[in-house]
Amino acid sequence: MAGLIANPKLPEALPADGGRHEGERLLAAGTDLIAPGRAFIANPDLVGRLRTGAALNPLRGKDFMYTGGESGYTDHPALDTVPA
Amino acid sequence: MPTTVSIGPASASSSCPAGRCRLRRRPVPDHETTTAECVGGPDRRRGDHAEPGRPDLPRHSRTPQGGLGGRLAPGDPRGRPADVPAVEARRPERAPGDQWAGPGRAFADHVAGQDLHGPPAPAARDAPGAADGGDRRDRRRLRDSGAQRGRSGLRRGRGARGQRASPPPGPGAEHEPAHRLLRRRAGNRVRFAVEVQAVAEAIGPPRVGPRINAVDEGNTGAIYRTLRREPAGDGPAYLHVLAAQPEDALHREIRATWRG
Repeated sequence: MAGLIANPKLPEALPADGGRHEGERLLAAGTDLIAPGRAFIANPDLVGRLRTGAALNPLRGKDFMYTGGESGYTDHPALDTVPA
Repeated sequence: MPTTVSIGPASASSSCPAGRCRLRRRPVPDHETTTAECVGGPDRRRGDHAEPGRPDLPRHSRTPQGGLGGRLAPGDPRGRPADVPAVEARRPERAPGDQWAGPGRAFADHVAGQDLHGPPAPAARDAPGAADGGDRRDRRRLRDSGAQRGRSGLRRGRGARGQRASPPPGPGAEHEPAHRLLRRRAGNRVRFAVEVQAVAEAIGPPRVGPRINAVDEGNTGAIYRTLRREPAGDGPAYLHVLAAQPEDALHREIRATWRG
């Protein structure tokens, strides 16, 4: 059986919820799996944040395209490393 | 196919640097070098005869292992050891006459009879009354209507079968590359579907998931009409659609045919 994976159509400026609302609409329409892209770049713990409703890290425009090094690649903070 | 090699000054050795092949020397005017063509075969003057059972080819056309390429004889020490199993293609068995119902089937049906440009004009021999001279009457009708339709008797802007033909670009019109023209006209990427099926047959359908992009191509529904119309069946494991919209008719159509 073949599944259907979809990426929601999002505006150029990523929504504050990382596209969660649009993704849930696709799931309600029968999509089997949602594949977020940009939100995962800025949030290494995106699944946990979506599950708990925590705020997402904003996407840094200059890091949208990986150009080498850790900047924009592995230096986005996770929830447990953000000072309270 | 002779191989041209430069062998340095004319006074240098005339042997082929890659082997000991027979050379045909060609002096280059005003140069101190000599161009020679390796024409293959042993240089009998040097006693370099071809080995028994080997084609008469230049030595430097052989593989670094000294072979001539192609299949090694069983038991050849240069080949795969006997205890290493051979890699076998995982092409599924298909019974004779068994018609595949995957995405490429639509391509086959399309080639077999579907027409993207509407129904074709009936051929003269298929026209009513063809049995009693229909061909002649049809030719006469086309000839008489030539004044309105052009000297060839065909409708302007139409091909021989009545299909729409692209008008020539007007003066000053910007040239449009073929790939953009194809994209603008929603070229059906049946090749994509065929390639997906070929990969699925080679490595197994559960390991294949094509992805179509509605962002860059815009008219995804038209371009991938084969994928969106064909049920997945036993085909690829999943279909990945970028920039999907739940209220889009294309998404609903894909959802209906690609059931998880």
